[in-house]
Amino acid sequence: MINRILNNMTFKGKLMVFIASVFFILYALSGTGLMITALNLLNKLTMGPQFDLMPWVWGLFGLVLVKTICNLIADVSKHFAGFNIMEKLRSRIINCLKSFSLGFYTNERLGEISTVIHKDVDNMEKVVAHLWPRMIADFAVAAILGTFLFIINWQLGFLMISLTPVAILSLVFGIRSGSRQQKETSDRQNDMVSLFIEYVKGIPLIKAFSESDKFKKRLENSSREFGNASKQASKSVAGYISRFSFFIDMSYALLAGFGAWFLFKTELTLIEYLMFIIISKEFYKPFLQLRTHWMNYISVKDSYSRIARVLDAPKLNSPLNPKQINGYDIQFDNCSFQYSEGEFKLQNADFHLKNNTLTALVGPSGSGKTTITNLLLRFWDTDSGSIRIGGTNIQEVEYDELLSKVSIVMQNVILFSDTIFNNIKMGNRNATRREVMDAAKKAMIHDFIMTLPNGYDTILGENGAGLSGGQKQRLSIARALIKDSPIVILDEITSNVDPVNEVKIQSAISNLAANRTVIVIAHHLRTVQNADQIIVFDKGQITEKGTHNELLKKQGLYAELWEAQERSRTWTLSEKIPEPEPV
Amino acid sequence: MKKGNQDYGKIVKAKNRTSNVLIALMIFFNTAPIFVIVTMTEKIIDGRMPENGFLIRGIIIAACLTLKNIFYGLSERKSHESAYSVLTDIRVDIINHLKKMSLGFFQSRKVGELSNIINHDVEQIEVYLAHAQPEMITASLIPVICAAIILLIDWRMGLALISTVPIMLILNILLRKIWASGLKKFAESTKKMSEDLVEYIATIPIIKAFSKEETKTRTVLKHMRDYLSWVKKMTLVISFPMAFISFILDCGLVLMLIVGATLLKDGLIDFNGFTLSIILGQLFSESFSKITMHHHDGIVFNQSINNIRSIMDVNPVKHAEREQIIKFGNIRIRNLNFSYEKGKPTLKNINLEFKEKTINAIVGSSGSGKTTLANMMMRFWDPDSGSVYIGGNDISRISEKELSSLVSIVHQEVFMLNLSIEENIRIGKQDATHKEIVKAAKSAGIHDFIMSLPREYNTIVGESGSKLSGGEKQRISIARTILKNTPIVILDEATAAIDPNNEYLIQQAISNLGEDKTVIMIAHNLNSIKNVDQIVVMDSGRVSACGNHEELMADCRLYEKLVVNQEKANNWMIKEVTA
Repeated sequence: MINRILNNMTFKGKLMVFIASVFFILYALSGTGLMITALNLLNKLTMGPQFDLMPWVWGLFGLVLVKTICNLIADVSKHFAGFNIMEKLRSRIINCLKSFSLGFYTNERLGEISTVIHKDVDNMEKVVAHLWPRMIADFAVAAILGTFLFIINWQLGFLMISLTPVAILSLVFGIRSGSRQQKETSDRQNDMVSLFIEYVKGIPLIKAFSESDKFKKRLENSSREFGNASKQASKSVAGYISRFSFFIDMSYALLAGFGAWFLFKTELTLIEYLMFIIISKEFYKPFLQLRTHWMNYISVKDSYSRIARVLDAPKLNSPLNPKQINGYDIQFDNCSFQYSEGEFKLQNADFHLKNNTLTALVGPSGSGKTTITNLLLRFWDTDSGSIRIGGTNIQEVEYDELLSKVSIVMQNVILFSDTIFNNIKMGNRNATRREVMDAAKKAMIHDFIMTLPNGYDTILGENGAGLSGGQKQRLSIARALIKDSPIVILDEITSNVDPVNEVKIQSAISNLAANRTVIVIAHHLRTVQNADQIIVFDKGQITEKGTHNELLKKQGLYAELWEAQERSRTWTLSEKIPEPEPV
Repeated sequence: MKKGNQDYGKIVKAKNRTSNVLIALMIFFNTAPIFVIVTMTEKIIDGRMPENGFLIRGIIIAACLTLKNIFYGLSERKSHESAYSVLTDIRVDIINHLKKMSLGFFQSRKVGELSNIINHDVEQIEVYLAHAQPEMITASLIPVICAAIILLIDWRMGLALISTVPIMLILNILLRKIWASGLKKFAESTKKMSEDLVEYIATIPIIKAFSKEETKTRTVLKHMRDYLSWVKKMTLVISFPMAFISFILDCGLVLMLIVGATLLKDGLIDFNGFTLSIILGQLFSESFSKITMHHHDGIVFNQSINNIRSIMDVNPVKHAEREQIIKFGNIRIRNLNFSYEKGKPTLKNINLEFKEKTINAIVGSSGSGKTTLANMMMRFWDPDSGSVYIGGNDISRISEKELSSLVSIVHQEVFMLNLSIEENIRIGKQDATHKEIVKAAKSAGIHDFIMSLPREYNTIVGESGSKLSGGEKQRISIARTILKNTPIVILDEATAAIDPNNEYLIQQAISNLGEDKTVIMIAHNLNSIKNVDQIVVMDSGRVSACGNHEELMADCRLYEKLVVNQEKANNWMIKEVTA
């Protein structure tokens, strides 16, 4: 695990960590040197004869200078190590993000990735670059000083570490028994947070409908339970860390007492005794930090495992001999697909779409229409059967090549907080200003853009804030027009748009659909009446295929849906609709 | 804990008094052994130490350290205990306060953001109270105690030790001033970098869809590298002066040693004093450097307090407490003005009347204010000027309960509780019987669907109603409203378009909803309102015209344009029919 973590730094980065550790060691040792010099000075003074103080003065200032320089080098190195690991991790994540299939980017995953690239990478930087060099230095210094003290007097050295094993054992025991409480606490926390989210989402409802306090009380209780669990957990932590410190301090007490005794027996000189007293504190330092170091290690492990989940997620591999797409008719050959056990199943989808035709996919919601377009875009690969474009199996084509042939226009439009010009230009990086304006005209958005003070150079807010839903849709159509791909997949629904806007969007869509192979997920059957082919889905299977008139004649599911929709077309409020005639 | 505009910072800091006392005791018993050791050492050197003295002194040292650890454990416990109590109190306060917020508040704040505040920001208070603050206190107390003792030993040594502190402080203040703009730029660049990354991730589906043409990836990576190389320079600029400052601090220690050595040489202080000073001097400089480490914690803490105040400082909606029996009548809107943001008026000078038991529609282009107007009648926000009257009563003067018993609103967004369908419909009327619920469900056209489910009315809807389609949720929302049976119903007609295959069911439900009531419908499909009693046409926040369909076709250009376009839209087919 540590190896993997360290591999996320370049050689330079690892070097920085090494340098930081080494100079932290030197920094600590020069601090100790300062103390030893002071003690030697004290010794010399108690010896009696006068001596020149000046060399001591230079010596002391010199040590302070060395100490400062070491700290500076260590500090700068550790920061640079931090930048190094941050850059490496973030660029790895960004570069790998583009290699997944479109199906990978669910809202949940994107939220996770956002957390990972911020919180977890920050955590890694903090611990690996800032905390570990100090930790390594602390242990190295403890070893060096410990050995030094041992050499001076091995009996005292022994006493110094006498109770340390007991201390560590009690710490380990404490952490183990505390972990159950930690889990309890974090469960309570999750409960509270999800109840809170439900509460906030539901307040408008609760306010609009009733005065009930029940939900609020539930949430309050959950908060109290979380608070209590936290208190319990921290009680046990306070217990074992003070016990740990107690054992360390008792070693120190033994050291102080027996050391004085040895001093009395002149088995130890004054300086040696004082060195033990002062330097043993340095020796104990990393031990007192043990729990913190352990917690840091756990948090780094957690962070890294989340990062690894993203980096190691299954990618769409390039085919061995990538083929080209040479025609734009689409063939689904007996395709079946199931997302997961017990979930919706697509069965034996088999149909052919001719080049430059309009095909509509219709059916009740959840019947398989979106699954078909998702399979075409390789969100997932079929369990059985194949999909061909121009005779070529899509799995044998470079994924990016496949995507470059298809434009997708959906209800949910994603825009960048960049200029309108750049947003449209996404479709073709070599597009000229002229071409962008032409696309905007065809998408019926040019006139609107010209009403803005900065026109095409207007910068949009986050995700196109400041634009209405209809305007965003037309921008996305302009983007698709500039891409000029031979295949278009579109989701027909336009909602929440006034009639004037709606007409504009409809013209834009018609412009996009002309002279291309188009697949429409149709919700309103009237809009696809004259499609070249209509495919009707029900519960994952294709029940009917044909033109509008052919399907009406069949009097099947399509005819039923058509009649239902026709009924709603003529509705007006303030008239009671008579009960439908039994068929 | 008191509610209202309290200074949470102060309250939170005050709760720590007991544990601060325990910490002080802990420090005392930690420092005491040093004295015992030093005096013992001196006695040994002078040969005045009795043989049995060691045991006693050893025991005293051990006892002090035992007490130190007891106080350590107790202070940790107490500080965490009071910290978590504070957290719980704050959370309960927030929960209660939220209930008093206007409906408009929830429209303007994201759920994720609020959840982050009650979870993460409140947690920062514990980090500060139980960790940062005790450590800060320890780190500040120790240098003060050490310096005080050394001053007592010999004022000249003490002075030498602290002589460099003022220089350090002045340099610190100066440097912060010089760096102020650099630090600000740093905070801004970091924020921008993080926003860059957040946007990249949020837009990755599009980046992938345009994979061959996009240049965003390259740009984001370049920005990141530029940022890092700038930050590296900043690090150097900051590190050198900071190193100089700590050098100055250590020089104080050296000065003290030299002064002490001189004094000792001249016999002006004794061995004890010098030894003690060495030990305490080292403690002094070590602890002092820890103080700066915690400066950052204070900033994070203040930020979290600010976030919490962004909820707690919002004034609750004032509601009348007394019940007023309203003789229900017409709805009148007088001279109403409202803006979400200062300077950008959303509703301008609205004057309207909706007569009792009529059917009304509001139409207009997107952004004309239709939804805002409808929401004002449910008191989502209070107008900047003007009022809404129901039956002659200003709605801002009647209680929340009363208003909610008069007006229901059916939105596009339907919130469901993770309970059974029956419970979700029952929200409309707490004490409704199963029969009443079934009747409402039938009127809402959802009864047949419910009966087709294995557990019928007892089916659990899943989190946020995940097991239901949009159209099904809509009809449940309508069932709730039918059950609630208020004299005024406001609804957003886009609800129907959610489920084209079941649209007529929803339309039927809407018709059933509106029987014998005052209905105000935000209409999108102009076809559906040809026969209503009054149509209000809105344009850029103003009422452009009102009347019935025939009147408006004759007098209102905007309405005519909308109707003509509606016809076009209704007859559109994707594939242009070639002649």
